[in-house]
Amino acid sequence: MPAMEVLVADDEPVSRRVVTAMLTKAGYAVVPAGDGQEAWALLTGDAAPPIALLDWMMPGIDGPELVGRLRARETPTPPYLILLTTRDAVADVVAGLRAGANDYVTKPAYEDELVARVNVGARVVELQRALTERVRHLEEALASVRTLQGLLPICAYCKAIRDDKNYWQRVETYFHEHSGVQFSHSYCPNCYERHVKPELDALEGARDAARRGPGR
Amino acid sequence: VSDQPLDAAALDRLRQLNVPGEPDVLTEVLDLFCRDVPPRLSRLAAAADAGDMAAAERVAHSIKGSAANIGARALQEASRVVEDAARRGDIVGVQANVPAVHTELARVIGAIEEM
Repeated sequence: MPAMEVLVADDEPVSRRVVTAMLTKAGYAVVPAGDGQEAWALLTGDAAPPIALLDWMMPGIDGPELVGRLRARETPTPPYLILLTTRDAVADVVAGLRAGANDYVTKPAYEDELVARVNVGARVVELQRALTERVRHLEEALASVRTLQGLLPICAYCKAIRDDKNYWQRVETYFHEHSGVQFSHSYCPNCYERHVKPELDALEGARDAARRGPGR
Repeated sequence: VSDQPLDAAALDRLRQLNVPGEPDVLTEVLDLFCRDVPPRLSRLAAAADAGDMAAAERVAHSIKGSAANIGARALQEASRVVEDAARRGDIVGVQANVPAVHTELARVIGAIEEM
């Protein structure tokens, strides 16, 4: 499996280089962004990194504004957002979390803490992916079940069913194609009395007649 | 604030970020610092002279961040003083404290060159 991508947006190159080194060592693939505008373009583009570390103070679009804009978008896979903030700005943290950030890390970041928090993000992203996949499967299943609902034209005599392409199909074939259900052939007690038993009796009679032979 | 321009523990933490086969992280980070911070300090001085407090606050903040990453505590503190003054709109305070940032940056770069 390829390394998970993490976007690191910071206009301050020394911090960006250090954070990049920490994440690279932990096995992530870092996508750098030099300011908020670049981060926005990368996070709203194709193949956007699923996790982003956003510096609080950046020219153009700052961290909290970026979080607000990203959260205003309708997307099935919203990114996991971590704000980078200085130690003396704890009050800002609440505003950042309210804007929709998942977490924050104070700067300068400590390797163990930063990596642990990004790992939490990676777990959330994995869970989200698994859920999205699950929902997709369920939607597919639901779509085929829907074709079994509503009004089905059925022949009153042979019980064949007319499909949406105007073909008459045996009831077993129709249900197998629309639900994956398989049929095992058997008979109910009523049909045993009405159809099976007379056939067995007739067979028995024919065998007895044959055993008695033509010699009598 | 220690007397040393660079905190040994911070440098050790950077050394531990090395990955086999990749360039030395500490060397790269210190090179980047020496290349990138002096021009920023020129911008800070220009903003201070022009009385542009928003720019002064932003640039002082970024120098503070770079300093913190390499454990340059005295430089970090000197830029914090300028950043705080700029945030208050205290032009005199900013102008009075930019020289201390110059002094501390020169000490840090001197220490890096001696390594």
